[in-house]
Amino acid sequence: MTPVISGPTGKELLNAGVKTSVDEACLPVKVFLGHCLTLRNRCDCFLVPRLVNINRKDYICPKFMGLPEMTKQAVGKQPLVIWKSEKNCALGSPQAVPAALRQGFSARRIKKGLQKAEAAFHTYHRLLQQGLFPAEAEQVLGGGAPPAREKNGRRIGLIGHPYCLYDPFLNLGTVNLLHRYGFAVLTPEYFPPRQIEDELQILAKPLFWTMSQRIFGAFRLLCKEKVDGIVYLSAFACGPEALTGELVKREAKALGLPLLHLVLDEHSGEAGLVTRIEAFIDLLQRKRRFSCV
Amino acid sequence: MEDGVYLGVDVGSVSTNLVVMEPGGRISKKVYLRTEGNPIASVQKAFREVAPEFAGVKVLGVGVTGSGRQLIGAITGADVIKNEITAQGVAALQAYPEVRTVLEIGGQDSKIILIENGVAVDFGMNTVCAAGTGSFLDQQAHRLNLSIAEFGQIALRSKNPVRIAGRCSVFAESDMIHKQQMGHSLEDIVAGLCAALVRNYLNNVAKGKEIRPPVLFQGGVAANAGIKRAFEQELGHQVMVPEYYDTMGAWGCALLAQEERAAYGKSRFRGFQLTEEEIRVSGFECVDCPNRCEVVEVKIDQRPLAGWGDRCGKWQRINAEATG
Repeated sequence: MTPVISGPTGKELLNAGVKTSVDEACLPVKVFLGHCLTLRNRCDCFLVPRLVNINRKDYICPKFMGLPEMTKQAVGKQPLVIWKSEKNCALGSPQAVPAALRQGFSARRIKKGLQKAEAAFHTYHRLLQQGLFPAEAEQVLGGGAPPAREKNGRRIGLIGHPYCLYDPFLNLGTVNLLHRYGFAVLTPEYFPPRQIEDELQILAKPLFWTMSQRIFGAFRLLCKEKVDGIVYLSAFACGPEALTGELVKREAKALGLPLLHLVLDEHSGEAGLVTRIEAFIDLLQRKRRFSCV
Repeated sequence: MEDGVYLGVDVGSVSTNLVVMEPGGRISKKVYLRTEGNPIASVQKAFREVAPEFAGVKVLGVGVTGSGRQLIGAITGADVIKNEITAQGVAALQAYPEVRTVLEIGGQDSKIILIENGVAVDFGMNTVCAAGTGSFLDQQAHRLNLSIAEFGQIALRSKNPVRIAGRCSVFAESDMIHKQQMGHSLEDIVAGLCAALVRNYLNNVAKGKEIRPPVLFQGGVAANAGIKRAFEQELGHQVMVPEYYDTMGAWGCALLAQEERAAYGKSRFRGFQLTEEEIRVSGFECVDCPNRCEVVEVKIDQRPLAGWGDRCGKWQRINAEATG
């Protein structure tokens, strides 16, 4: 069995995804379906996980729960294997591995394979916690050298769902733009999960969504890190973000921390997005320059 | 102080403005033209208007802003290409150093800039919807058979403005027709429209922002006395309109060109002859990768001058070789 992986997001892919998905789907789901469609003629079967929760008391967004069904709708007749957790066994446990993938492998090999995958997952996340971006971490995992990072430069926080932050097509190259202006960019993946959890204690009531927790926790940590400002990228029509966005906005206002909230949309209004980011960076730079004088 | 002038150009969707500024910030000439969908021709026209007077004067720096800033920046050889928000904010601070809130309403977009201790600290901008902008007023004035210039004065005559739904310009239009059929007077409807625009602006662009005096109101729509009064009624304090309310963006980028003069030294300005050049812009879809970027290429007298629109930077590199 050979895994086939889709390439980077592009205009054609997005258009294909938008065309096949239901109206209510958010932009990232449309992108996901676009990726599936580009693979349609290159693979025999799709493997899609059903993510419900990864922690005991919080949930991944419901769109993820429906991802296998939406994929089925999009790819048509092609067979679909769903990787899902069963009662009393987590997604990563050997019992959860779908039967279609188990064929021809002993229980021992399956267990070993899972352990290897988990180890790679942890190594990858350790690299992200050193401030690397996913593409850079992949390079390092493949044997490349880690990129040099300036330690004492100006820093900006970038928060949002990982699929918005790390897809340069979706966010119109926001990360590159910030780097070009000489900012080091810190994202939620920079912080160890335990630190993020500690930050959530101040909430009167726990947040329902795992991703919202990570965004809010990372936001608080970024404030403590004394970054110059924070950019919040959210996807158009994202339900959980309507709430998290408001929480973050209020907190930023109370702290007097510059915050730019950008909503990503399929209409790719690049000019508008770039104008806002440029104006935000000017604001940070002028603030620094004139308050030093 | 060095002899010469700074030029500021603001190329918006509706109007194109050019200011000639003396070192220090005084405006010696301003030109306000309609863009009419052709930014290049309107900029050439604007330069033609100032050329006779200033052709012999040394240009110390050029700043451009507005949605067409990249295009016009390439054509004029601008030293500073800035976004509209920064430019508007800088001009507002020059006009009133103590200003704390800037309301700006232009043709297609509107903004709010919050200022503390002489530095912008926050801003807001309208999203894709143009319901709270000048084009909304333009449309409604047209429907009422009024020129946009009369609009404000008529609104001021109203004693009892009617309430018009302002959330969306489509709703506003049907609501307005309904009020007309009910027999409300023209001035009450016009004043109602002004109030609707202001409500829309405050609920969208300025949502969640604290508006503290002194408040400055600028942009093309600031000419409309009806809107100014509606703002004052809604906010409960005085709203000031600066002298150069319609060319604040152009002035702001001229000021920025002056501020950053030390960084670029000699101006890259291509000279007033740019009004006579044949400038062609062509667009094509680059098919080298699945991104399918829409690339724009500018040619002056058939020489390629600049290109942009690509995500990978390939066409921008060619641009640097051609000019540098």
